[in-house]
Amino acid sequence: MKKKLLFVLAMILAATGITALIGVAAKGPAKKEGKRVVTSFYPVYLLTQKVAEGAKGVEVWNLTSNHSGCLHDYTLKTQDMRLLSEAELFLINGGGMELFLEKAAKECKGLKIIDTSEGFEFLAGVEHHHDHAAEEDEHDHEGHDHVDEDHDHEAEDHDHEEESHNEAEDHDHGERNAHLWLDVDGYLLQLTRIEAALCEMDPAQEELYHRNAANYRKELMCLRQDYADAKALLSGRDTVVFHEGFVYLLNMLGIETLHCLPMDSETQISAGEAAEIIEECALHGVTVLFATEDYAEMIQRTFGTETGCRVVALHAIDSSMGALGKYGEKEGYLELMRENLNRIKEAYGKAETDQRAN
Amino acid sequence: MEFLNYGFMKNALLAVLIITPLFGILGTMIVNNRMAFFSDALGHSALTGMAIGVLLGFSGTGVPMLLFALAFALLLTYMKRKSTASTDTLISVFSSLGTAIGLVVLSRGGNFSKYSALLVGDILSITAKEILYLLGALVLTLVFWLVFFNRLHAVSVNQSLAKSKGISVRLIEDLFAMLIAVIVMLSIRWVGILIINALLILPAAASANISSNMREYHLFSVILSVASGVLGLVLSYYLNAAAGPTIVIVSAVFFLVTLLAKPFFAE
Repeated sequence: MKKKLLFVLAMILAATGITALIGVAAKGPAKKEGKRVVTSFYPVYLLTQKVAEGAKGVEVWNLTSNHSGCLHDYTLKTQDMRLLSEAELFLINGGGMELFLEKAAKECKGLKIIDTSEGFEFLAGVEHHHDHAAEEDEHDHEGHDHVDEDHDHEAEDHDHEEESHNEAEDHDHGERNAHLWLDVDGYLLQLTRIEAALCEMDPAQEELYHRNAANYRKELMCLRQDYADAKALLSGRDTVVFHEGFVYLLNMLGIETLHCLPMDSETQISAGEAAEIIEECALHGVTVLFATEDYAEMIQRTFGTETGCRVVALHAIDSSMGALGKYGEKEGYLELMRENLNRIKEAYGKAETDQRAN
Repeated sequence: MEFLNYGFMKNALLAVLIITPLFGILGTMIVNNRMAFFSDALGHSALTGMAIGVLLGFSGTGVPMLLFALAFALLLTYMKRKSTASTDTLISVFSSLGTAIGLVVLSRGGNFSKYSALLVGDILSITAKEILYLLGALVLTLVFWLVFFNRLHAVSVNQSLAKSKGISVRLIEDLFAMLIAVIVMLSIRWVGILIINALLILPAAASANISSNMREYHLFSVILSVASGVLGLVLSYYLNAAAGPTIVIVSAVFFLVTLLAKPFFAE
């Protein structure tokens, strides 16, 4: 017994030694200097960097820097918790994007959390596969047994959305489409919130924050104008998208999303859904589908040949991976949004030439 | 010890210090009674429990998960007793069914990612109140262990012999199944479906490698469980890795070392 106990203890001691060595070797997070601002999510991080550019004694960190895609399934790592527990300000995307937050925030008392999307009117999100984005009420339903026929009008508090946006049928769950950064207006709102939060945290450099924000606001307004100009050419079309954020993006162009099927690593398209989408494409004369770069090829295989649609890859701008690297963090958003616009225009251009040729 | 400056690490450490001895003791009983596969199935049934909670519109899914797990455990032991199919087949069926129903409900419309934290667990987000629940579970396990251990052990050795000694085999089995259900459901959010069984089984299995009597078996199991829990947590802090899986890796290393050392302790 004694020998065995000694053996067990020796084994544990050895393991402790190894752990200690690793602990010494691993360098902790950089010592905090000045004020620390942590953002939860890439689009917020990009904006915050813009506003805090050149600020002294302020460091901006992003929690989920290596995470690809949206945060719905993100779990906090120890490094994240360390970042947060020493931060002054935590800027989040809001709209239900940060599901992991509730707990983490409680653990870090004294941390100020700012919801950068506060006041934004979110579209309803996609909850389950039967409630797909409903069409505008005045939209033509003729000869089409549509699932949304018995569209529920009693949700009075949503009537703004019902007038002008696509929305999901089922309000019960209060799911929101949190991808507001793909709507330039939403991004502008986030910019304003971030500007205010930074000014409040660090009034000494207020002027700088206001100046930075004003400069970037101008650039975003230009971008918005580009979209508004393109709207004249593109509006009135219907499409199906495979990322919730694209509903916002295409809304700016007046392109109607008939159906939104968010794809992520755990999603498999069910046979019923696939059939529904194919039918819908045929019925509404959809010519172009939109997916993220990760899924475009797969969607092309599943739906491209079946529907004769062109599948176009757009940027969701939700992580540091992929396309953002090409332009860098400073200009990434603007460049990618322009690239998105060009791809949309080009795709419809081609699709319509094809149609005329046939 | 810089990591103890953080509230979340203190909580996580406290939780580990409660969960690991709990798992150490429970694990020995599970291994003894050949219920390893059973506790795994229970873990998977958490998905269905959660799905039922979501369907019924519970805000927290704790209560429906617990109730479902209790029902699941009792039904499974009942079927085990009555059915002619072999036990591992039955458990496998139950486990897969529990997973499948949970997946069907929870992944409607591609929203499974919301619940995927359940798969690997997240001990860093545990709160003081939840630590108290775990403490309650530890007390419950200790009481069960003190009161029923001999009888449970008798059942594990030979059921007919146990019966002849006047032990109600059914009652003991049911109670034990329910205990496992409660513990698994209470800890699954922190430990995760995919690895909870590893934490239950590995310390006991490592201990079994080198023990020759019950006292050694339990003692080493608890020591190894606590050690791998604490070391795993600290390692995960420095390596910026997920805590639960790191603990499992440490446990597995202990298991392998004891396995290699086994011949030297054979008596």
